[in-house]
Formats: sequence, structure tokens, C-alpha cells
Amino acid sequence: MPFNSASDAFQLHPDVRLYRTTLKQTTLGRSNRGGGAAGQVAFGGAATTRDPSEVADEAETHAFLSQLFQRVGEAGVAANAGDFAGGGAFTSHPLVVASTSRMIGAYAAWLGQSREGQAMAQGAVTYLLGALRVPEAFAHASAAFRNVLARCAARFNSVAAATALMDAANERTPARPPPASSSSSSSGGGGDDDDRAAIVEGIARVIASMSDANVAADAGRRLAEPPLRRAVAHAAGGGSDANASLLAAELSLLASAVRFLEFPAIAEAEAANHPAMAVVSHAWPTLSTFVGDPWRGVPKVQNALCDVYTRAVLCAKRSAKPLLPHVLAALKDAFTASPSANARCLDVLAVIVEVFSVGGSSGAFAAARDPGGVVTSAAPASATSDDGVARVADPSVAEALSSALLTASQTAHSTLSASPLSDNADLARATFELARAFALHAPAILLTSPALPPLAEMAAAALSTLERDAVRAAVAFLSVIIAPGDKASASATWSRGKGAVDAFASTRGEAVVAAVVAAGADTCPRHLLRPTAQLLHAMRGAYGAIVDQWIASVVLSNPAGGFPNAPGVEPLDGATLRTFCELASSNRLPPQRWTALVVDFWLVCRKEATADALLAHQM
Amino acid sequence: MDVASDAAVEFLSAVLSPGAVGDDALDESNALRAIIGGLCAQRDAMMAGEEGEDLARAVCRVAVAVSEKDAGALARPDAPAECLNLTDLVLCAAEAHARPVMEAAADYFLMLNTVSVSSRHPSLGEPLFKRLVGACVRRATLPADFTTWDAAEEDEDTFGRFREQILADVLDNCYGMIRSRCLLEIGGALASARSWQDAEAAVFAARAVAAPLRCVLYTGSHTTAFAW
Repeated sequence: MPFNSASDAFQLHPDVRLYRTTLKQTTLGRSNRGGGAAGQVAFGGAATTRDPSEVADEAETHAFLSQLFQRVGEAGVAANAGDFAGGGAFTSHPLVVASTSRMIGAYAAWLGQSREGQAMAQGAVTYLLGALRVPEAFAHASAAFRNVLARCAARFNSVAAATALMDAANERTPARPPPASSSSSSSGGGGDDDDRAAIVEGIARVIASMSDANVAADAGRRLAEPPLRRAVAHAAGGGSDANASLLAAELSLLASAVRFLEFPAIAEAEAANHPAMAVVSHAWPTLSTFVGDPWRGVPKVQNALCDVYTRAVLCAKRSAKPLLPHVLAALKDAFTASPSANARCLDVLAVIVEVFSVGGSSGAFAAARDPGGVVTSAAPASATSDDGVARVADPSVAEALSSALLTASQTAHSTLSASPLSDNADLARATFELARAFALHAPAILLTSPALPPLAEMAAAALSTLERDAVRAAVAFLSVIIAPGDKASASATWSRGKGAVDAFASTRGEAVVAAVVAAGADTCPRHLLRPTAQLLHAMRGAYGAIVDQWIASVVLSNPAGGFPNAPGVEPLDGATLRTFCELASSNRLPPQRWTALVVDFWLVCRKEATADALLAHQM
Repeated sequence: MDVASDAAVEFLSAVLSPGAVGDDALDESNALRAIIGGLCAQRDAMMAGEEGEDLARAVCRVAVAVSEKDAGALARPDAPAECLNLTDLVLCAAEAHARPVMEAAADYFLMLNTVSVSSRHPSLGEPLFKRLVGACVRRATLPADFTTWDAAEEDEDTFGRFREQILADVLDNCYGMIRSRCLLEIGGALASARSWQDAEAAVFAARAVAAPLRCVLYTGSHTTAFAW
């Protein structure tokens, strides 16, 4: 664009001139404010004075929107009275209601942030409540309801307002998920999404903004009541697949209700008052009936339950402790009943370990940053057993988790060893991710657990499969136990417990190396080559030259002749293999280069690169 | 006629693409004026009711190529009459004809809006964009005989894409250009709505400008139209 100078550009275009802040209070800006020559006004005062025309424009914008939303609010009153004809243009047709709902959602920020908008929030919500009665508008109305309440929560968080809101919303919430409308799917919502969740989430945001935890807990119970009641009704209908779906949908709504009930200020001492806990405790007698038959082996229902547990634990954090025994028992029940279908149970367990873990790098940093802060955990970070490694401080929780780990690994082991891994790929993934969560957040439990050897064994076996998620999780788990990091390695926890890992490495190390090297050259998913090579490097770092010998023995002395030794793959010539082994066993290469060498070698094996690729590493 | 006009559009667009002809500035500007003159000469034919739609679309496509070539020259304060004529022609076509013409014409207005206001003819500021808001609302309107998507000739996805991608983009530009006056135009459309379809289209337009409006009100800058 033919601007003569930057200042020219800044006076010219309405968009450009709004970039006032990019030019600070320069001499230009100052002279402008003094001079005020025609045409220079726009460029005037950087942060202090504003262009009068902009101020006027903003006022006009607010006035227009106020008027618009005034009419929307009036239409809302009419619509809620069932008088759609009396609502004027905004209620003239179901599609207008849908569009208006969507428009209201788009102005949620204005409704929440500006003085003018806040005055209109009640009317907007009234309109949306009316729109929820219109099936064509339901998806947009519920989404807008959530967005507006999220922005305007403080306007509705009195007991009376929140109760009225809940009662009105509940009355308009259908007993089963409405069919996903095509307009909602085209606007980004997933096909299976239950639009009712947005209503629940909106109200949960209002509850989360309440200042009194007890009041919030009451409100939370009230919010959870309708989905629970419907869940019971669906469950009473028998164990058909359709009923399972309906039941699962209601449980998901419960999870949505719990999801936003975070009250970070609540200390562990008042755990029972935490609104998220209040909701789940209130729901527990009902929830526990869904853990048993006929829903025990129904993944849909169990996954939805797992969702509730996960949301509750993530929300209440360590305040969830009173609930823990119940949740762990329910998880054990569901998982042992049908391990392959209920792998999600292990994911919940992994979340619990993470939430109840203290110390470690993040905890240590937090403590260092806030030395005077109230430590809400059961044991302060400076307890005697603390050696800078993450751990579950509460002894009873640690014990429960330890036993949960053992049960989980035993059950997973018997399932995984009974059939090919591809039949239970998700279970394998969840098992290794759980093991990794323990290794990171509660190494003391994992290292002393009899579960460790079979877990490592299973992970090693998974390496030579084609299941990408299982391989990824197995590599991540093995990498953590073999190389937990410099700081962790030096800790008492790891030096005491490392014996179990070392024992595994001395008996199974060669087999693991053989599996890794062969997998890299053949089956390992392409995007996992680097982390897999890093695992090999970690083993080398931990166990030294013996690993080089193991690598050489796989590559050079393969009995069936040549490497890679896989059907349909031409083995490499001896010179290339020897070059690789020499390079790999020399200590010349820094870690990243060594990893790159291994990846390149694997690409050569896969015929995706030529032997020349190794040349670069020789220099 | 269709094949011939398509071929003509292809040819003219190719000629107008950067580097297609020599670098003699005088030749180029003469050629450009000749093309603009040729486009303007189609006015009567392309504005002759539904018959003219294909022609209007073809003219808009070439006009877009012209604007991409040199929007500055089209919009100069001292631009020759035929340049202003061309803009008026494209706008009239977008107002008068059905969706395909607006689809073809949209980029023309976006290109014009890349020219700084002080380098623009006064008629290409507020007057143009006010009319454009009206044209967008009209094109966003569902057919008068619309009942449900299942029964409609219109495909829901196609219509949705046109509104959400093309019209929303043009309206975003209109808002960036004329701010609250854009809202007043939309308010006018809402107030004068004579059917639910009219009201629905105006409500759509009010939503489409919510995003740029939020940027202006809460961050003090409208970054979507002009990113540095």
C-alpha cells in the first residue's frame, strides 16, 4: 500500500488507527494533542485521550444493543407466558427463536462485561428460558444459556435467583437427550452431544460463583436431583441397550454438574462441605446401585460413572478423600467384572494418584514460592520422609492406592495374557498409563509393589505390537522407571526402590532391548520412533556397556540371518550393520545425536533412507 | 453463452493475474480501463432480471480480478467515472441477484476495503458499506415459501456456509468500516421486517457483527480486517 510513512498509515485507515498502543507517547502523539489539526485527530492521544467520535460511536453501540436486548427481553416474557404471537419479531417463528438465541450467546461478553449489558442479562436469560421450549431452538438456546450464565454468574447467584433459574430450567429440560440437530452439529458440536449438558453447566457456573460453600452445596444437590431422578427411572426400565444409553446420558449430565463446582478456597478440613463432594455424596446411594448388576458389565454406564468420579476428584482435589474408599471399591468392582470393557476405571485411578500426590517438582516449586502460605495437604511438604520426590502423603490413601494398583495390575495381567494385545489395546494403554502415573506421582508405592515386575513385563511385551496407544504408553512407562530423572534418581525413594527395576533389567533387559530394536526397525508406529530410541538411550545410560552388547547381539548375530529379520523385509548388508553398532557403542555422540542415529538406522532398515544416512553420524 | 462467458472470464482473469502481461505501466493501465469499460457496458444486460444472473456473476468475477490487480486505482479519490461505475455495478448486481452473484462479488468489497480511507473516493466509504449491509441482510434471508429444511429447495449446509463464511466476512468488514452505523442499518432491517424470514436475517446480521464488535469494545482494536 502506498503509504508515505507509518504516521500516514495511522491517520488513514479506521482499523489501522486503532493500533494506538503500538506507537507510544512519541513526540508525534504529543504534538498532535496540542495541535489538533484537521485530519490528525484520529492519531491523537495514545492512551489518555480518546477520539470523541469513537466515544460517541461506543455510546451509540451500547444504546443500540440495549434497545435490541430490551426488545428481546420483552419477547422473552411473552414467550414464557406461552404467548409467542405477542413476542413480536423475535418469537415469530421457531427459526427466528433459534437465531435469536444464537445471537444472545454471541453477545454474552457484552452482557457480562458492560454496565449496559448487565442491565439486560435478566431479559436475555428470560428469553433463553422461553426458547428452551422450542425444539428447533433447543441446541442454540442451551449453548447460549451456558455462555450467558458463565459471563453473568454473579447476577444470578443469590439463593432465590439460582433456585428460580434451576426450577425454570429443569421444567424445560427434556427427559431424554433431544436428537442432535444438524445446525448444532454444523456449528461445531459433536454428533452425540447432549445439548442438555449446556443448561446444567450454565447453572453450575452460577453455583460456582456463590460465596458461601454451604449454600452452594445445597444448590448443587438441587441441580443434581433431576438427572438422578431420571437416571433411576431409566434404570428401572430394565437393562436394555436403549435404557443403558439413557442412563449413561443422565450420569453424564451429573458429571457436567460437578465439573465446574471448583471451590479452591475450601481447605481439606472442611472437605465435607465442598459443593462437588456434597453433590456426589448426595448422589452416592443412587450411583452405587449402577455399579452393580445389570449395569456392571455395560461400558456405556460404567464410563459415564467414571466420568462422574473423575470430575468430582478433579474438582474437589484432596477434599475428595472421604469419597475415595467408595470410589475405589466401585472402580474395583467394575474393573474386575469386565476389565477389557472398563479400562476407563484405570484412567480414573491415574487421576486420583495425580490429585493426591504432593511434592515432586511442581509441589516443591509451589512451596518455595509461597513459604508463608497455608499448606492444605495432610502432611506439609517438609516432612521427614520427603526427599523431593512426589508421593501420596496421606498414609491411608497411599495404602488404598497401593492395593488398588495391585488389583488393577493383576486383573489386567490375567486379561492381557489371555489373548493377543490387539484385542485389548485400550486396556493395555490404560494399564501402562496408570503405571506411569504411579511412577511419576507415587513412585514409593510402585517401587515397593509386587505389581511392578508384571507391569514392566507387560509393557516390554507390548513394545513389539502395532497398537500405537499401547506402544506409546508402554514406552513412556518404561522410560520413567528406567530413567526417572537426575533429581529423582538421587532421592532416597528411588535409590531404595530401584532394586526392583534393576532386577527386572538384569533378567529381562536383553529381551527388552531386542524387542525395542526389532520393533523400531519394523512394527513401531512411525511417530513413536524417537521416544522409543530415547528409551534405548535411557537403558544405555542406566546400565552402560552391556546394553551396547545387547544391541549388537540383536543386530549382528541374528540366528535366522540378517537384520531386520521380518517377513518381506530385505536384511541390511553386514557393513551397514557393523557401522551402526560401532557408532552406537562409541561414547562420542551426545544424547540427542545418539537418538537421531538410532532413528536413522531404523529408517534405513525400513528402506525409508539409504545407508548414507549413517554417514552423517560418523563425522 | 455459458461456455463462452466462462471462457471469457478465465481469459480476463488470467490476463489480470500478476505478471501475466508486460511491465509497461501505461499499457497495463490502458488495458485495465478497457476491461472496466467493457464490464460497465454489460449493465443493462446483467440487470435485466433473472436472465442476467449468469452474466452478472461473470462480470463480478472479472471485477474481482480487477480489484485484486489494483484496488487502489479503482478507489482513488480522483478515480475516473467508470471505476466508480464498476463498484456501483457490482453492488447493484449483489443487491439484485441471488446468492451466486454475492458469492462472486464479496471479494470485490473486501479488496476495496484494503485501501486506506484517505486514499479512497468519499462514495466508497460509509455510503457504499451502508448499502452493502442491506444487501447482506437481503441475501441472508430465507425464501418466502420456506417451511422446513427437508421441504426446501435450498440445501441447509450450502446456505449455512454462505452465511457463516461469506456474508459474515463481508459484515465483519462493514462493521469495521462504519461501526455503529452498521448496527443502525441492521436495526433498520429488523424494524422494517415484514416476515419472520426478514427478522431472522436481521438477527443473523446482528450476530455476525458480534465478534468484531467485541474486539472493538473490549480490546480497543479491530484486528480481523487488517492484521500487521
